[in-house]
Amino acid sequence: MITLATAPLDPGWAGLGLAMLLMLAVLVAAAWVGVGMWRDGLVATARTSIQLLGIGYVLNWIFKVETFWAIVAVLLTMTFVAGWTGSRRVERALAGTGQALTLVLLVVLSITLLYVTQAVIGVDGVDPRYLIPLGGMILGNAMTAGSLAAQRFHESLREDRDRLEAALGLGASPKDACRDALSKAFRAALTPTLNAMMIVGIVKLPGVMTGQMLGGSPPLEAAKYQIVVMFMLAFSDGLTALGVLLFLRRQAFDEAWRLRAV
Amino acid sequence: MSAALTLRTVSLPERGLSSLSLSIARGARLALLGESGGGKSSLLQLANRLLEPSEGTVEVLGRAAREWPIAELRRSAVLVTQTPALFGGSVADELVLPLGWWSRARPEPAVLRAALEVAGLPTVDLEHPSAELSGGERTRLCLARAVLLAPPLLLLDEPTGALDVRTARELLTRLRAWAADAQITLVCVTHRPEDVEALGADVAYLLGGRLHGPFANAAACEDEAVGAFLGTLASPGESA
Repeated sequence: MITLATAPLDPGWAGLGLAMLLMLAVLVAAAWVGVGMWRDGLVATARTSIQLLGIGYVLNWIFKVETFWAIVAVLLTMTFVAGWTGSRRVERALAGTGQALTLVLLVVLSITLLYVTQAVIGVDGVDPRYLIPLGGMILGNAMTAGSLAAQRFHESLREDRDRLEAALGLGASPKDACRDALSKAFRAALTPTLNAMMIVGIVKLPGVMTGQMLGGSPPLEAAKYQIVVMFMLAFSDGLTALGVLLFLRRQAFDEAWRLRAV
Repeated sequence: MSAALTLRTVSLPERGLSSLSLSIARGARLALLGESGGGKSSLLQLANRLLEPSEGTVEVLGRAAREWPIAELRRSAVLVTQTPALFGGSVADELVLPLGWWSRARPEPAVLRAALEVAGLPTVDLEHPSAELSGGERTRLCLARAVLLAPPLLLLDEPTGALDVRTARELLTRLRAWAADAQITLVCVTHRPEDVEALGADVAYLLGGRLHGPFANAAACEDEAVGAFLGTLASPGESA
């Protein structure tokens, strides 16, 4: 028999305990096939529980106090962590990459959130229920896009150094000389999101749609939300990649149109 | 009239160059010989500021290189690298690419063909994909590109490296006629003394980080270090 819940169900602490049995089961299975994963498994279980409950408590508090500055503080913290983490993923990054990525993420986050909450969804005023989850998705994706773009651009400059210097020797400006490297890096940054957009809904139901349905929304409404999210992510990925690449292009050459050591 | 290129006690220790002085008159041709890895390419790069000397001054067409707007300098002193740099597309695309960078109009096909002819590629099709050219053809395509640009000072890094002796001689003879006709100053790095004659050039030697010359021709040179260097080139098995 099919029943539709009218309101989202809280798994409760007892439910969490039962869910933990699933972890226990997989670790027992690991031990049975001879893999000693107890340590990693327990650490992962503990980290997942502590990190998520921690952010749950923080957001619970923020949703309750409903102060603008608390929301800003959370989003800023997330942005700095994303900028720092993203730039650490780039091998041998040019000086200032971390700061640039953080700044770009901040701008992209502000523009995207403002447009999506105010124009697209039509949120009434400042609502943490929208700003924080959407902000987290934007930052997580854009961080990856930014670091992919930076990584690919650096690789192109290194691999193509001879050809780039040949172009400079023929009178090309840095902009002309690294046009290829820039477009390759932009494409690399946007590819994961575009690929995800190709199969979304067919191979798996993405997070937002799943979450909305678990929260009791009708599937069609959940689908519309997911579409908004996909477009939003593609936009923020592209804008972040572009910002990071324009910064790196400036950094990669000196004032006499010479390629710096990268 | 001021010289096309003047180096005044130019040093660049990280490339092993110390206190180089040289002056090349406008419209003259200079061949630059010396040990491989001896800094010949670096000397060319000093001329259009791809490298900066740690001491001394470089002047291009009577003006200190540092005082030129960089775009103008690079378009007045064009460097063709030793490894042919192709960027993709057809032969015609390769030829006109720098013209696009320089915001110059695309020339008529006849002009492109004339440039290819100077560089020794009279029969290659303009629409032929550049990626399918042989090593020697690529080198000559890059030369044709420089001919099309016709800068007042043209810096060539081993343009004959991938060519056999006869092809090299024919190429340099045509290049010489073209440069003389267009009043273009040529500085050409090479490892083959016979290139000097084909190019009708003065010759200078970069040995142990120091310049010897220019000399009006190789035979007129009584410099001991140069004599020893030429001796190593003429040793058995090395001669062409």
